[in-house]
Amino acid sequence: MGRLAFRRVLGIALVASLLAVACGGDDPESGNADGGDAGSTEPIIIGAAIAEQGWLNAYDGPNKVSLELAIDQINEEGGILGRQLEVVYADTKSEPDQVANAAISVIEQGAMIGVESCDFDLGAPAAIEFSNKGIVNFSVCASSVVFGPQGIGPLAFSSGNSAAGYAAAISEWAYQEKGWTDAYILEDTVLDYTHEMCDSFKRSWEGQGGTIVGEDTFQQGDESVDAQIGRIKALPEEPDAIRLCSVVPGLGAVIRQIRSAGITSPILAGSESDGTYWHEGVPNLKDFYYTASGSIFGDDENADINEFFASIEEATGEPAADAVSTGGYMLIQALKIAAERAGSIEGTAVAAELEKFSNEPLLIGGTTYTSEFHVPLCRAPAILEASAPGEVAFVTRFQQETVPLPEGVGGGDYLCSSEG
Amino acid sequence: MRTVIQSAIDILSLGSLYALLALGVALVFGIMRFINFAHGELLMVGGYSLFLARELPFVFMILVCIATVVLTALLFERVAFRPIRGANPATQLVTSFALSFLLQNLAMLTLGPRAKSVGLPTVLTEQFTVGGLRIAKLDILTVVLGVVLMASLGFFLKRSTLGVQMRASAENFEMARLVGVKANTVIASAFAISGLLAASAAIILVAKTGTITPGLGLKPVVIAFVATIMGGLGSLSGAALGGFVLSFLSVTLQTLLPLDLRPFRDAFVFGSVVLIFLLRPQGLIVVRSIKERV
Repeated sequence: MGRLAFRRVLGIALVASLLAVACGGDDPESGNADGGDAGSTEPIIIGAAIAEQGWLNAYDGPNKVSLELAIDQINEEGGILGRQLEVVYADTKSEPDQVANAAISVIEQGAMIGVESCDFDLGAPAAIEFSNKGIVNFSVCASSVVFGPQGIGPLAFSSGNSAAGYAAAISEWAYQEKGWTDAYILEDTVLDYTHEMCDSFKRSWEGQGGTIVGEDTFQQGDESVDAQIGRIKALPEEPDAIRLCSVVPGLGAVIRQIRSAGITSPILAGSESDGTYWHEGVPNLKDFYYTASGSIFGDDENADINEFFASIEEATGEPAADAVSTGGYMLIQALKIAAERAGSIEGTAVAAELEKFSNEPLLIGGTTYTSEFHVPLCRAPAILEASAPGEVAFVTRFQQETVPLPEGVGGGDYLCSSEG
Repeated sequence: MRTVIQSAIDILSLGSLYALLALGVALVFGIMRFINFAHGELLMVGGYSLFLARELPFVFMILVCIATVVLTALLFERVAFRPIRGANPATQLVTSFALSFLLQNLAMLTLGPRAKSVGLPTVLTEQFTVGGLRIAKLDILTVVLGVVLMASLGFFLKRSTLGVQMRASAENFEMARLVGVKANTVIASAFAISGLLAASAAIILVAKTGTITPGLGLKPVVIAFVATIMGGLGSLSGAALGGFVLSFLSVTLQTLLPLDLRPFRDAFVFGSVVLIFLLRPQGLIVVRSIKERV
């Protein structure tokens, strides 16, 4: 074959294969969501499009471990609907443009249930791909309230607590249990998540009758927050509490600078500050309170949680870095309950059963999904206190009453009493 | 009045850090005529070396950090930049980007994506109050270190043989080589000094924030880049001045902007930089050797 002819053949083959891939991707029939016959004994394939590399692996990695732990346990107990579970992976590399491809890859490997990353931005593209194929899917711990019908579709759920719920819990606990009334808000503008937390906290605080004595912003990666500290120092008296909405590493850097400046107000934060891995950089850490799905320190009032983290340590050989990993475990728990009630793993049938969850006892507590919200808004988080670097203790599990909803879902308050 | 003086202290401290960052970039630019975007990774390497040496006494941590960063800078020069010396500036620029990505990913792969933290003594970050003004010991250290390093660099460039050779190379590299200046020595020295500046900046940064991530150098290198260009490409004093201008803009805007606009502080900072470029496209300080000769 002449070189030109060979090139032409190669070109045609390339175009043909591209077309095949493109058509395959759009073909609704290629989904696996019907999951085979009701009486099938074929394994149920869980397809996880999560980050095995890059920054998000810090959160997705531990969830992968807990996902496999749950799968092993469920398989030992006979599986779901008598079928064993198998898991296949595709790595999103923490790159937004790789997420949809990773989802398509696990769908091609036969995924019947979808699992995506612990973040709205890096979870949603996969959730959309799964949903398009009629596959019910779970983010291991996305905390945005719009992860579900509002932001993605009716088949997407999150296994983690909502940021708004966390914000309401720490606000109500600080105001009601500690009796603090004057709060200062310091918001990192890095993510929608940090903004959502501060916004919900502010509305919850003021809703209870508390006063916000000042607000300021900073940016993750700022070399210095001297100007922000100057503003707190200029207050007539130190606030009762400082609500810091940020993420590691900026979070630790700011606490270090606040404490160095001699500001002693208690600092309130969310689940992003869980774990002690960042404490060494903050030798002056003190009076620091935060919410988390549970305590990784073996002192949770819920014995199942202590046992869970002991199993994680056994599986990985090292203690859990933080409590985000409960999401991977709970999504398998939720799937088993919903699929067995539905008698099928078909997407809409499982989703319909999930939406009926009312205080369903999962690992970290009673879980409710509704047709409107697919992220638990009212699941009570643990409140933890860091009294010194490396010294964290479980304080209580606190049930929030009123969750201020973000503007993205129309604002307003969500009353936990309405869940019954 | 107190607020103004307090802001001036904050500006001076942050400005010294920015100046150290900008000088490291400007020094290499002066001779090589390209912006080394991997300069930020020198900071990252410095940060991680502090983390890995955290069990050692403080003085040794500092020495390990300086030695590691200077060696890394020399390695950059020998392995990545020497083979492409004289190539198209775009090639050199892309090489520096590639080096930057490579090192960030290497750090993530070997040390994990989670932030690492180092408890440099908090005595550094402690503050004391004088006449109602709060001053951190670290701020004083930063300013002193900035002044000492800048003065020594100035002295070195003006008085030492190697320094004069560096200036000559910055002025006209080919001519300098023709009269016997050893290119390899001069360029390697420039990288070593930029490494020393990066190590100093890394120590200050880690003492301030206590945390290290693979992306530690990303924002600092952008600051250094903008300061170098704004100061007038090729001018060391211009780069330092650029650092102080950026610090002035950043602190002043953080203090003066209303809450609703504060999240967009950097947009205002860099908007002001654009304005400065419109008024002085040649930079704040013009260097003769950079000017096009007609």
